[in-house]
Amino acid sequence: MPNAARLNAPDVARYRVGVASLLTQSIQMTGELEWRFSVDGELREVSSQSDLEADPAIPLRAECALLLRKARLHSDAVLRANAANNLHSLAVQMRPVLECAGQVVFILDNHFVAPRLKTDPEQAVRALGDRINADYFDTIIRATKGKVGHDELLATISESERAAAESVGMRAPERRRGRSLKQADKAASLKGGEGWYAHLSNCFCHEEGNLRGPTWRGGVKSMNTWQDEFYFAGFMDYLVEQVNTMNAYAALCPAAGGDGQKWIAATLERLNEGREIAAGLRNAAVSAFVDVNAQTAD
Amino acid sequence: MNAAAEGVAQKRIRCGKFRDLLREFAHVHVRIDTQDRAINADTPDWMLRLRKVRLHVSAISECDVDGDGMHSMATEIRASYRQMHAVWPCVPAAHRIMVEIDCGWWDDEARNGMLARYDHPTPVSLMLPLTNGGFDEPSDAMSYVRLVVWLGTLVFGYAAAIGYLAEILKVGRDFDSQLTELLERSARVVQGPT
Repeated sequence: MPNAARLNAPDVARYRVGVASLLTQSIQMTGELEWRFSVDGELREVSSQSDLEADPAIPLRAECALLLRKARLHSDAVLRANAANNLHSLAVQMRPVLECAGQVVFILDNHFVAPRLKTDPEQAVRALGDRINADYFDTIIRATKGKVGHDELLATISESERAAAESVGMRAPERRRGRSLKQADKAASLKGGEGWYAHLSNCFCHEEGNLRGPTWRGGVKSMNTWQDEFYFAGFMDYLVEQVNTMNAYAALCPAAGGDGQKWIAATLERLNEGREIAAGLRNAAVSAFVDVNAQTAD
Repeated sequence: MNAAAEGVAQKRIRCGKFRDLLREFAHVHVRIDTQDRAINADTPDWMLRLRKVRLHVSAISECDVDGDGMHSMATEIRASYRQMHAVWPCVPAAHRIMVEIDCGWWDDEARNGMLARYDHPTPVSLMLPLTNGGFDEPSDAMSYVRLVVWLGTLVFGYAAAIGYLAEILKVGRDFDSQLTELLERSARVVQGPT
């Protein structure tokens, strides 16, 4: 077996340090966007119809701000896990970040991108409505620990909507269809999201991980070999791309101040720059990896 | 301990003490089951799972006891509970000091309890109070009552498993006395004032 000291290990170490630094910058951008969507750091409460008429983007901004905050705090935990050489913690903290990033991408894509680029804008509106309904139903069902069933909930909501419509002389809305929301669906808007989500869930969050296998598959035999260093870097590399993508989509969300274009440009620049830097670090590290294999074959 | 009657500040102090004790238990664990100890085909799975618990416990010990910290802690607690579910049946009853829970508790709490809500965020769930996995009402005392229970159960469950591990690996009395001392301090966190 090759001795780690003889390998081109500095490239692998540089890859890890480099992507950790990129992640730090991405988290900072997430925090700035989060701040931009709030007023003095607080989410604005919608108290009346006139509030919504004055600023219809309030609910969208609130959704984004909450998802960004959740993504940010778990991304911070990822950095702590990296500093502590703890890939298991890094993996479990990475999963909710992917869920948040996937949802931000899904929401903003269907709000702004899909209606302009897809041939059927109604499809985007329907997708958004279905997702909001599914989130609402699932949250209520979980919050009531199943005491309120799916059908019962649908019936109650439909009845309330019918009564409200009748009271103002409107036609009753179409009866809602409740759909459930799978956890993996939330990451599906990200490139490779479903695969990564399944891997993190199976190997780190559930009990199926290969305990005696390599660390990246949930094993616990080692934690600080040069291969482990590669895994840390690889996991964060994927995460940086997803956080940057989330930030770029979040920048589409309108906020007070009229500086939208500036934020869109800044997040896209960060996304492209992150890709370029990460690719350079990755390529150097991978060539070290290949060299290692060559030495092993000798 | 009458956790429900305490103020939020006292509960947070109690959570912080449990968190610090978890760190100390993890330090003892890593000295009992050193990272370079050979793992072979005979090494029981539960010992390896306990290593996973240690990694999550170490991460918990890095978290602040506040609203955001609770979110990141809950994710680690949940992951450690999933492993404790497989560890617990291997720990003899004689070692399960101060923890009277059945084998299904860990998994049930991780899958069906409140912990899962912090792990699967949605816009609607994040609008809920902290105690339900959201960000609202961050100073609600109930959130910290739950955290005291989650951390406390993990402290005693993890301690019992390490105690058994020390016996199996025949690591000597020095570790026994350290574990006993930590257990006594853990008991004081449960019983005593903050």
